[in-house]
Amino acid sequence: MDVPIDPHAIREAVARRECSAVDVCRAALDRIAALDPPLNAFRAIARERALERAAELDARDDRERLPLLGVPIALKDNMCTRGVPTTASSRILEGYVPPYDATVVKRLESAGAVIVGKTNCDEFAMGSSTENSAYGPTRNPWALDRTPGGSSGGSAAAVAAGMVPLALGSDTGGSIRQPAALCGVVGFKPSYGRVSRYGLLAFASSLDQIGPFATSVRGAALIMNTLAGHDSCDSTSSPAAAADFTAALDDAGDLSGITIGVPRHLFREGVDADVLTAFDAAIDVTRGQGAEVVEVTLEHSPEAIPVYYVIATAEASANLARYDGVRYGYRAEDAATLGDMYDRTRGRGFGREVKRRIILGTYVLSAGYYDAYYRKAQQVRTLIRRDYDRAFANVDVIAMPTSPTAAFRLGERTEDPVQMYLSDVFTVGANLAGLPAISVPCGLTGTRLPIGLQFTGRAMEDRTVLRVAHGYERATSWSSERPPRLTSELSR
Amino acid sequence: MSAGALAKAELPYTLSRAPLRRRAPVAWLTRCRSFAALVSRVRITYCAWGPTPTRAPRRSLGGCAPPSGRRRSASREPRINGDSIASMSDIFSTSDVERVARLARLELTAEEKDLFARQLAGILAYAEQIQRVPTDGVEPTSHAGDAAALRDDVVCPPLPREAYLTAAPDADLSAGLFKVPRVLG
Repeated sequence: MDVPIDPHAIREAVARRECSAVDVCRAALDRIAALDPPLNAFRAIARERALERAAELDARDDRERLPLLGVPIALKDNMCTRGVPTTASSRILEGYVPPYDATVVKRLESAGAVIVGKTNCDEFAMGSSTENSAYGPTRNPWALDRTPGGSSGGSAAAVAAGMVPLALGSDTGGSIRQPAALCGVVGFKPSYGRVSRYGLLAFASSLDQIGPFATSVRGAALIMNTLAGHDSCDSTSSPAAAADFTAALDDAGDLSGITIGVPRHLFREGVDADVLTAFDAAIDVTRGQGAEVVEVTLEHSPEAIPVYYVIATAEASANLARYDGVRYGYRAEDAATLGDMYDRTRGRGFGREVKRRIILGTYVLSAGYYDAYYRKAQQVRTLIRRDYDRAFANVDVIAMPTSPTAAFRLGERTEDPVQMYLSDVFTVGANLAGLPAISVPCGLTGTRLPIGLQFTGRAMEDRTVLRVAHGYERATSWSSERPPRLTSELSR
Repeated sequence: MSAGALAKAELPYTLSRAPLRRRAPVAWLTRCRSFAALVSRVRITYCAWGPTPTRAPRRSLGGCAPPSGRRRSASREPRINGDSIASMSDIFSTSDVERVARLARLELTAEEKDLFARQLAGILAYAEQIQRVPTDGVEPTSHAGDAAALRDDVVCPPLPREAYLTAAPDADLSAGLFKVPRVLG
């Protein structure tokens, strides 16, 4: 039977009983079964749990008031789901089944959403290509020889391929926005503190943020209404009440009164010509919609990547100390003593990139190097924040390309960590400064690979970012472009 | 906290991973002890190198030529003019990797030690560009948001002990304990 794919349409159809939540859930599970084998976007399918949940929703009398009624959702595999394996795509958590739900899971389910599965990612969210998963890379639905980006590549690919209308990812240095750009979908990293991280397997706690993938800004705003808000289980979540995110959107696509800052000094090198052309065209569109466009300077942005990799690895080395073979997942069985068991479990359970980062993080925190690396990075982080503060005195949002290139080939950057880290050049700033930022599709390269446009806003002004991105989206048709091969498969 | 308090079955629920620690009293205590001993040993070693940059700088293996110059003292701010920018990446050898891996409790293969020494030298050479940014008097930022708020000190019921024990690779459910290999070799 024909069921809608758009989250709003699903909600309306299930509320009016034009179709049941079980029908919608089955259709999503069927799409996953048909489309996932070549893509490897999913780590686990929660078939029974999802169908039970959908049947419960169909039996409820108060279903009309549920904002995400019957909407199938995929979660990145680093968010705890009770009874469903959660591994962060790491061997060290193989077999781990969490005894509790992350706060985002509770919120989604109480809003009527149906969680259908867990998506592949770079191990512990460390990477920019999903190639660091212990369970094989995810492939880009637009070109199977290319990466979907990362680290939330599975979630991005699942939404881009139409398997689910919405998915959650986590963003520590661009891990929602960069894969969204490379897969041609919308990816939103809310302000630091806007969404609870309770139940998110921590990577770098001063940077991590959960956020949505959707095929439109409106879809992202819809799910944000459910995700946002204070949580007593996460003391970094903001006590400020979250306003209605969808109410901030204006379908007329009018951007008059909005000032957009462009830090053009950052685009001098390393940005592909196709990306820059699409970006310039997008800025012209916003100008045509009434936005004022001005130059801004983010003086310390060139240092953002080294600052990020010092801070993120330092925090990761502390956060990942808990994986010791005692309490969860994998344990090396051949150790004679407790100490050996720790060393072997961690040595074999973690993959290369994770070990590389634990070593780097331990090193920059060790006596004699702490001041030179970690403290210094925290000081430059302050300067990066001040750059944004200065820019936001004059502009409402800052526009940049999301990623300097479109999707790269699998294996192309795995040998050189620094090259891989440079994928994050335009995204890490928002994490270091705690700002809301979104990636929306803004074009295709000559070989039909998606290009993303990023808007960054003031801290806790998530609504402004969504409003501008939605306005831009209304004026163009890039968000409705779908991967060609899959479009034909879906219509069969 | 006394060992008696740690051994109690019903304790207030808190937000950190403390409940898990409390539920593994023996394993956690022994780990703290051995880890503390390890850290104190290694710290002494590091401090002994700090102010005496006597080791000759090694050539970088990472393909990124590090600035010439010797390892700087840990207690001094790096200077920002030309060749006095000190390099720390040129000291990253396999024995450095081994030392840090011991701190992080990671068993590495010989191949991984070589690979990481080379790659981390490259990453650190790249990270040295932050040394050129003047930061005198700049406060460090540890957190992007406002300072974390404290919640009210209210007891919330934790999950049953079995919920945590069954998620572990090896546990004795009836005794209510995680099982680990013997502590002393």
